[in-house]
Amino acid sequence: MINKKIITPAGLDLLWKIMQTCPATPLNGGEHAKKHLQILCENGENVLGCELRKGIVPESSCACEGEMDVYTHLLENTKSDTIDRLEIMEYFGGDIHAKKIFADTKKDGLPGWYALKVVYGHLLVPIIVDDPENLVVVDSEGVIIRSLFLLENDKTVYVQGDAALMHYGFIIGKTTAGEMDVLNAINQKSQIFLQAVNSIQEKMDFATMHYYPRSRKMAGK
Amino acid sequence: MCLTIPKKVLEIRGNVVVVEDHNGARQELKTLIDLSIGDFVMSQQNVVIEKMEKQEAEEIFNIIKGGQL
Repeated sequence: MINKKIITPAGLDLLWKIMQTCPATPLNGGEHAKKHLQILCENGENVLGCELRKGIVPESSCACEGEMDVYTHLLENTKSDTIDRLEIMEYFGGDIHAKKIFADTKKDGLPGWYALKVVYGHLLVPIIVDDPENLVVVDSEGVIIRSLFLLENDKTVYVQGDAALMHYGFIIGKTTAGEMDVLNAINQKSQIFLQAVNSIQEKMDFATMHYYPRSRKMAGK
Repeated sequence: MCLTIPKKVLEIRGNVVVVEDHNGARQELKTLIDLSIGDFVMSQQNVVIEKMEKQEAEEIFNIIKGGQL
């Protein structure tokens, strides 16, 4: 059934922006799957789930036994048969993704308070640009976030007050006020997200995240 | 998913390696890549997925220690 789900160009576009900020690993199909996703995105057409999953190399993903790659997990956990921008936001901003990240941090032996910070950094979250030159933003809870990145190929000019999306320490594109409200509501439905926000102090420096060096590398810095 | 912490290779037994994490905890991992003792690696689901430069691993450890994890 998941192979027959349809992903729209708008859904692919947001998925591609998110996956560009995610380090390539066997569980997301590595660089091969990223290149495959980029091509699908550039084609500008609807794709079927089976097309999306073609980017996963079985030999590498099956080495991680019992774990589903992110594309299959997305398709499996989306209720709608059509995956548009909203469904991508629901997955990467919602409780399913938050719980998975939290579980993975516990497997890595990270303490609870830090694990919650990692969950927050790993979710798709709406933000307002505060200092575009130094890439300082503020989220809906008033948390100030520093040391963010832009993707190497992102030529977007951000100004103070712009609404945008944040994932894995990157600002990944502008959004609308309406979409901010929608994504905010998605975030707020996740108990783990709410716990994460409660545990973060007023300011969060992304450079204190242990995966900051990897993000820096992906940003071409 | 994308957030593992570097581990140091202590022992190699064929395609299984013994590694140590930032807390000193040891575990056995399968590996699909050639490794040497002293290498730093990243793993997911008990499988080594990549080798990491020592400098980058140490930077990550410093971040972790700085946060007093």
